[in-house]
Amino acid sequence: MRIEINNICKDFGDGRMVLNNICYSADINTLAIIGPSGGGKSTLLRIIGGLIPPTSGEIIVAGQRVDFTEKKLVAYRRSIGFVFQSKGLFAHLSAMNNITMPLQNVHRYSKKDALKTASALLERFGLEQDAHKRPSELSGGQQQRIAIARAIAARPSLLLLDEPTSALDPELTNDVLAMVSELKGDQLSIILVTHEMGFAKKACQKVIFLSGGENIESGTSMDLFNRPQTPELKNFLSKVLEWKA
Amino acid sequence: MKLFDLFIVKENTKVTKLQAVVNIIIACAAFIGFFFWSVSRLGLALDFSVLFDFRYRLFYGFITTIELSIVSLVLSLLIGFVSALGTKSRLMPLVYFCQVYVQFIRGTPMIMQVYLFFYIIGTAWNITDRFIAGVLILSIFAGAYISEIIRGGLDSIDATQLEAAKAVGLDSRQTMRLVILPQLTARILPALAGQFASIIKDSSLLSLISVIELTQTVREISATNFAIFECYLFLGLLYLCLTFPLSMLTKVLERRFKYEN
Amino acid sequence: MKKILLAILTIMLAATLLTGCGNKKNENDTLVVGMELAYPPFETKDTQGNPTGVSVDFANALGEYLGRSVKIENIAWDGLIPALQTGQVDVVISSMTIKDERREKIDFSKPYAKALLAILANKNSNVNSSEDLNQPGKKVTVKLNSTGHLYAQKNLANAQLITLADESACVTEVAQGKADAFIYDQLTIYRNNQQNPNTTKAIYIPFQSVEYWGVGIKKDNSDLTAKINEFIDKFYAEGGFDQLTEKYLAQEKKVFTELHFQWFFSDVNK
Repeated sequence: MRIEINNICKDFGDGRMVLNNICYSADINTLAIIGPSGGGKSTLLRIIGGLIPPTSGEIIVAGQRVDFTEKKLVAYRRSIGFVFQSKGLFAHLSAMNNITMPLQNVHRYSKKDALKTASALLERFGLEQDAHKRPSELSGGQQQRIAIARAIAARPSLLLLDEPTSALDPELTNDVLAMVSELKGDQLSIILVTHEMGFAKKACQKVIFLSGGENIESGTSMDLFNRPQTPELKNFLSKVLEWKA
Repeated sequence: MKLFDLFIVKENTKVTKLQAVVNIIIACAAFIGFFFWSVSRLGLALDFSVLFDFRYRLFYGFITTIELSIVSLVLSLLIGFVSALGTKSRLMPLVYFCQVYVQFIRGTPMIMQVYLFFYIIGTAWNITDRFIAGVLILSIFAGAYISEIIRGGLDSIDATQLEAAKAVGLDSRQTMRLVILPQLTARILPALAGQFASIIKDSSLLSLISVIELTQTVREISATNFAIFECYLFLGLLYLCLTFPLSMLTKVLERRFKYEN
Repeated sequence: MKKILLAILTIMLAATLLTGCGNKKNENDTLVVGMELAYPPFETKDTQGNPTGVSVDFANALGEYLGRSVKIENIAWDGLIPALQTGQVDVVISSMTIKDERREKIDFSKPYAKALLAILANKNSNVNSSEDLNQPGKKVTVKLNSTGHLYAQKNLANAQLITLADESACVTEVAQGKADAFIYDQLTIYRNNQQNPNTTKAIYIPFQSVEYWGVGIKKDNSDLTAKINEFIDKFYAEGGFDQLTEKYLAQEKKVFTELHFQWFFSDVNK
């Protein structure tokens, strides 16, 4: 899928420029956005997902310019799957209903079809026994995997994940990442913000490095991780990949 | 030692039904016993048969209290909901209007509101029926408290839940219906049950404008037969009949909606 | 541990029983007088909040006569009789009318003053006498537990009775037209008519026999009752009530004379 980010700027009205003239243009299959905390990664992801409008600039996804008026955004969001860092599942619904509710109310599936789709998804990812449990009865890892299932249930063309494993205990991270990896394919493009450098390096095709609200460096993950060009990226990678006593 | 077990709960074991019943009876007996001991020290003779002559008026007053409370509950829920949403609106005059309303009603005693509303606002706008005036006063009063309950409930809903609703493609009306209302209801139901009990008790203040509910009926009756103590004891018993089931309901609701934790 | 608990409980129980025995009332001490300080100039408060008025002076004089110091207890009207019944007060001097219904619960001294009921009517209501009140559709307010209340209950079966706790609320109802009339004593009706000349009119045609005020005493206290009766005779003989009239009710005495009302303290004990 082709994605173009042209001169995206975002400030939240308090003078701070969270995103400063972000430009990026590429055909992506799996894209990782990495960088230090507060660098604007989550904000950029939310703009791409249509959850917040940019202060200026435009986004073109698969040849379509994203219209940021609220009415048009509702339709745009329906074509995108989004996974939050934590607490993204609806607390009052069971795992199964978390998936069927949007299918029935947003995508107009019949009750039967929604149930069929949801059950199939849960089964595929080994989550059938958790179908009728509420999020509070599930582990963080299970919650995230169900959140991913919900995000892809309506077959979106783009899946966005905002640090899906940052709130998890280390032993649960792998399951979630494995599930994301499994989803890679021609029909689904994935953009994720992550701190898991191993995953970004090995499972993601392309990478953007954001720092201080600016697109410092971007390219294939091969290039960025093995041959970082900018001092900021070099600095970041040295801190992240190696524990210096 | 076996008899002792009736009164003491062993560590890490739940209270059995038998233990609960026996000990509740003991506790109630202690309260009632102390009360009648006080009465006997004063040389008072309580004669409850005087109330029997007034059973029709007492029944009518009791029903009126129930009617007042139910209608006020519904109306105050409406007012409270509108007010809570108002404080979250982007229209600033509305936000402040609702905040001022809540502050004023919660910050002043109901007795003042009863008089002010009935004799000034009621007369100015020609609200002559006392029952209707009573319902309005009670609803406006309880509405402010319910507004805060609802507002607290809304605030306690995690922001991510609303973001998720957005992300999943729900529009604002669907978000309200499918995400906010279910979670809000779960959170506020126990508090609302408690508020309903308060409404029932607060309705007694409407006796000030001679709404013929239970308290006013008892006041009028005790004026004729001067059996003040018997009358008010019976009054307390009748109110307990209404509020006790509600407090039980509150406990049940609290347990049922604990899934948040 | 259990033994210590048991010991403590036993001691507490014993202590409660013992203190219960030692709590006899001190009858030779203060005379506690109950009154509702909401009826000027008989029972009211001065600017500092201390009790003052005709009944207060009367009570103090009674205390002097009995050789006891006096303590005034401000109690809401509804609570005066219960206060006597439970012994919270020794006597009630609160311009209370002697009535048979009240006699069932407490005793009264001989009368020390008299009063008549009057009507405060809304100017637009076509009420000109007490007979006009006993019609369906007529709304009459009374203060809870007052003699006006008792009169209305007995004699105004056709009217709609609105009982309220405060006199001021009753007057407001009449002034605003929510009620047609308010039945209360002449003095209060006169005063409130003066305050609301445009909305109310006062009707003084006597419609019942004269009411007499007495001192309320707990039942079966014949000694005290006898002594108080003696005192009332003495007080009259010495012109005590004339002095009180001079001090508190000079203006009112003039008005009553002009309107040909019977005065509170004239011909009470013929």
